[in-house]
Amino acid sequence: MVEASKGQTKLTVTHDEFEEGSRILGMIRNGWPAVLSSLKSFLETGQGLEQPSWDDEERKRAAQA
Amino acid sequence: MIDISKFRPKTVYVTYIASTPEKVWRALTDPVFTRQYFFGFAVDVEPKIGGALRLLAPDGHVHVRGQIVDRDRRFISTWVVEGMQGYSELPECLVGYEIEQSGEAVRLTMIESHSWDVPEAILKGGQTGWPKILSSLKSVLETGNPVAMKMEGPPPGMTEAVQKALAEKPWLK
Repeated sequence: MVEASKGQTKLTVTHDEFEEGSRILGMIRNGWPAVLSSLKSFLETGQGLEQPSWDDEERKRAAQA
Repeated sequence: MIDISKFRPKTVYVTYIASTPEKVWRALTDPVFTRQYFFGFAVDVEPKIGGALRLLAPDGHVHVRGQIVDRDRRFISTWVVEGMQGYSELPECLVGYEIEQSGEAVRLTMIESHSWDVPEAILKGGQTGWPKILSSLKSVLETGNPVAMKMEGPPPGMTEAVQKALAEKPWLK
């Protein structure tokens, strides 16, 4: 969902209806914030962020939990 | 000191910022910095365990009062909203920041935790505010300019949910 107001845009991404215990959910949970952060950087500075490997991120989170 | 194991994360916001952990830490704890992106509020924090945290509105009134409970790997503070009628009588919540290097960027995670079964309508306040605050923080660090955000009043239904909670005090049950 994209809502614009005075030179700013609010972008809302909803990704739902995962099955219980979904492994994909663990990955996209790390993936979306990284992708959307990079999109914001790209729009504001002309440069996106280096993307971490989402599999690595998921493993890191699982190890910490 | 409060027992943080009784608190459960209810709202989590993750953002990646082209910056360094030191700069992100400074942006979260320096009043000159927070004024730029936190609706004009200045954080006043004594960065040690047990230290006081205050969030001062542009007119000088105390909007949030808290106490630092962890500042090693994470920065966690209790958080009591005093600037809005009735809100300070709700149980305190915890606001925690985690700052990690992630490749060339910094991963900043904000976690709002509660010790009771908070109604969605009350969580909505933070869920509306945090993305604005932290989006603007990212812009300040990456471009030098904040995203001009206005603080809105409580989202629909929030004030009623706070009044209901204060009448029923479900956290005592």
